[in-house]
Formats: sequence, structure tokens, C-alpha cells
Amino acid sequence: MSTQRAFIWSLTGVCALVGFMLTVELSSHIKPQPTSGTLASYLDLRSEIDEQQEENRLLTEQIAKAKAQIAQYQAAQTNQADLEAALRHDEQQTAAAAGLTPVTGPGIEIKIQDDPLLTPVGSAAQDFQERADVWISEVVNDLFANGATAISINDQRLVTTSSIRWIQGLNSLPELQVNTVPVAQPYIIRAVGDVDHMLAELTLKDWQANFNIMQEDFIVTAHRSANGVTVPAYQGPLPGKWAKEATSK
Amino acid sequence: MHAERRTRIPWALPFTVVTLILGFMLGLQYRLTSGTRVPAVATSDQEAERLQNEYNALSAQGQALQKELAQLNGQLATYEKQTAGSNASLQAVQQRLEQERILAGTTPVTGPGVTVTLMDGLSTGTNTMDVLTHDWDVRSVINELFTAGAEAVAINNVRVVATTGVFCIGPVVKVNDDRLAPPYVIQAIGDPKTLKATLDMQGGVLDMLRARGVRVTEPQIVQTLTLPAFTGTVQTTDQTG
Repeated sequence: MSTQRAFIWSLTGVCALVGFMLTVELSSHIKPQPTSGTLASYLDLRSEIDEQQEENRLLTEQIAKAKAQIAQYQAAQTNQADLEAALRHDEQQTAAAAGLTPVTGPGIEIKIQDDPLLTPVGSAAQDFQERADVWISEVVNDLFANGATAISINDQRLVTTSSIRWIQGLNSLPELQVNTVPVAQPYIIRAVGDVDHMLAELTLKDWQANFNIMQEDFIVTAHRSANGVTVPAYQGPLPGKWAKEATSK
Repeated sequence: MHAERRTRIPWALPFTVVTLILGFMLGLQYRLTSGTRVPAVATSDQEAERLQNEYNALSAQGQALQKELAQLNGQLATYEKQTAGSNASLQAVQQRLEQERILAGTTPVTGPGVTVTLMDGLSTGTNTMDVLTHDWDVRSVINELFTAGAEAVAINNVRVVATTGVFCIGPVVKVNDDRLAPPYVIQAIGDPKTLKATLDMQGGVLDMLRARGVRVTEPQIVQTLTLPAFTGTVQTTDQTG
């Protein structure tokens, strides 16, 4: 009789345990449906909110500036000389923002030129000769994204509508064109802005080594004084033939 | 002895089943309890909904601010024209001011142009890097458009200006301070025929992308495109003094 009781308890225990383990095992393979509440989307939303907040802040600043300009016009309503002064002041401010005035300040200068004494590495050797525009654009992009406020290449100021192209020249040799103006070696990139930030980026990307393996010098000089680097004004055509200001009244 | 064993079998089988069901129920209860003990998904769902609402409100606010800025620009333009009056010299200043604002990107612009969309291609496992839309791909299309005379360009409704950096951050491309995910819709205002012809050029920038497996739409001419103003920091002072 005691053997039968022990058997019953053992059977109860084993069966309950097997049922429990089977349930836990099976349900652990059922993954929850992905929802908008996953960590990735949570972080994305948080970043988007931060970006939108920053954009709204900058828009609010621009609105305040526009309101101040309007107030200036309204205050000068009876005085034509003041109105003209307000107009000319606006024009000067906007010209600077558009890159139509020279800029001098702390900055860096980069000299890029062929150097046959450098040892080319593998297929990189001819790369610059085939895609100089891509490489120089990469450097410029890095500088703008890391503290540069004004950049020129061989005294061609880079503005919104600028382009850097490597095209076949009249003498059948490719040539670099900046703002559709041909420029020759050595290519001199001048950038006004946060010197340390720009230098750090150039080091991080190891641009010097990247150019050297293409048999190109990449000589960077920092100019930290207030008169360190001068980037000239843009001299090319202005837009407005096709694009018009979108104003609502 | 033999008879006793026979009577035990029919009793043991239903007992086994009942006990297994009991174990199943206990296990189910355990899973449900442990699920509610760490309510990460439920909570983050609520949090995501709250963040989404917050983002929607901010986005609506941003659109209202863009509209207000456009209205103020309209008022400014009116004042500028009134100030210039019939004075030829001041009229020239006023016209130049408008052109400069377009070049600086600080004003929304409208005009004819083209639109083209770049999307990641389908990877076969070995060509992933080829079929992805990289930052340099976006830059090369923009560079081509400006070379062809584009006067204003936007990527996913973010205006491109002189100081715009376009670079990859993981799976997205950062333009100015905005992180943009594919597809990348590039809009350009300029001579529509020239812009389209440039993009359609055989062996040109779009063909090279297509050859790699990146999905690129046919460039479309649009009679009226409207691009927003650049909303980043603008250098408005001449540092030469």
C-alpha cells in the first residue's frame, strides 16, 4: 500500500513538472510582435524630437530677425533716407550669408598636389587622376560638417550653387572645375572656422595617408590668428532666373 | 497479484493526463506572471505613443513657423519694393537682395525643376555595400544638378546650402542637422529640361548608380516646386569687418 502511495506522488510530481516545463519551453519560443515601442524606434523618436525642437528654435530666431527688420522699415516710414539705410543694411547682411563678401579668420589651409616621390599603393595610384573631384568633395564635405564656415578652392568660393567637377579639358587632359572655372594644381583649399574641430576630423579620417597612397601630397597648415586665412567672395552668377522667393501675404 | 496490476492501469492514465494539465496551467500562469513582472513592451508602447504625439505637435509647430516666416518674408519684400520705389539704384539693391537670399537659402523658394528619388537596392547577400545609397551618391547627384545650373536643391524637404555636409551615420544620411532615411527625394529648381537631360545622360550619375543596383526613379519635370528655407545657423557678418 505504501508502495502504491509513493507511486501516486511520484507520478503526480513528474507529470506536473513535465507539464510545467513543456509550457515554459513552448511559450519561450513565441516572440512578441515587434511594436512601435521597441528600443530603436524609441531612440529614433527621441532624436527626431530633438532635431525638430532645434529646427523650431532656429525658425523662431529667423522670425524674430524678420520682425525686427520689418519694425525697422515701419519706424523709418516717414524718412526715406532711413528706409534706404535699412534696405542697404539688409543687403549687406544677406550678402555675407550668401558668400558674397570675403571672410578672414582662424582657419586651415590644405595643399594637394602630385608627388611622384610618394609610393603608390595598389589600385589607389590612379584613383586621384580619375576622380579628383570626388576626393576633394569628400574633404570639403568633412570640413563643412566639422566647423568650417567658409571654404574656397584655388580662390573659388564655395556657395550653395557651387559644384566641383573633373572633366575632360580642351587639351584632352582632365581638369578640375570649381564653380565651372578651371583650376590647376596645386589645389589649395582654404577654410575659415573652428581650427581644432577641422584638424581633428582630418586626423580621424586619416586624409593625409589616403592622399599619399594616391601619390598626392596633402599638406595641412593651421592658422590660428584672427587674420589667419582669407576666403574670397563668390564672383559667379546669382540665382533668381528660375527660383523665386516663395512669399505669402 | 496479476489482478491488482490490471486494476491500477485504467486509473493511472486519466490521473496522468489531469496532472499534466495541471502542470500546463501552472506553467502558463508562470509565463503570464513573469511577463507582467517586466512590462517593458507595454510601457515603451505608451512612451512611444507619447513621444509620437510630442513629435507631431512639434512638427505642426514647425510648419506653422515656416508659414509665418514666409508671410514675414512677403511683408519684407513689400517694404523693400516700396523703399526702392522708382529709384533705379535702390531697385537694383532690392533685386540683388532677393537673389542673395535665394543663394543663402534663407528664404523658401518656388519654381520649375526636377525631382528624382534614390532608394536602396535589393541585396543578394554579397552586394550589400553596392546597393545601398551612400552619402557620396547623394552628393554626386546634387553636384551634377548644381553643375547643370540648379538654383536651389532640397533632399527630403531639407534645403541644401553652401555649408551643408552630407554624410552617413549608420543607416541614415545626415543633411545639415537632420537625419534622413531612404528613400531620398531630391528636388531641384532650375531649367527643367537641362536638369533632366543632365540626369538622363547615358553613362551619367544616375546610370552609374543603377549599374550598382541602387534603385533610381526616372527624373520627373515638375512645373512648380516649393522648397523650404534653410533653418540652420547662417554666418551673417563679414569677418573682415
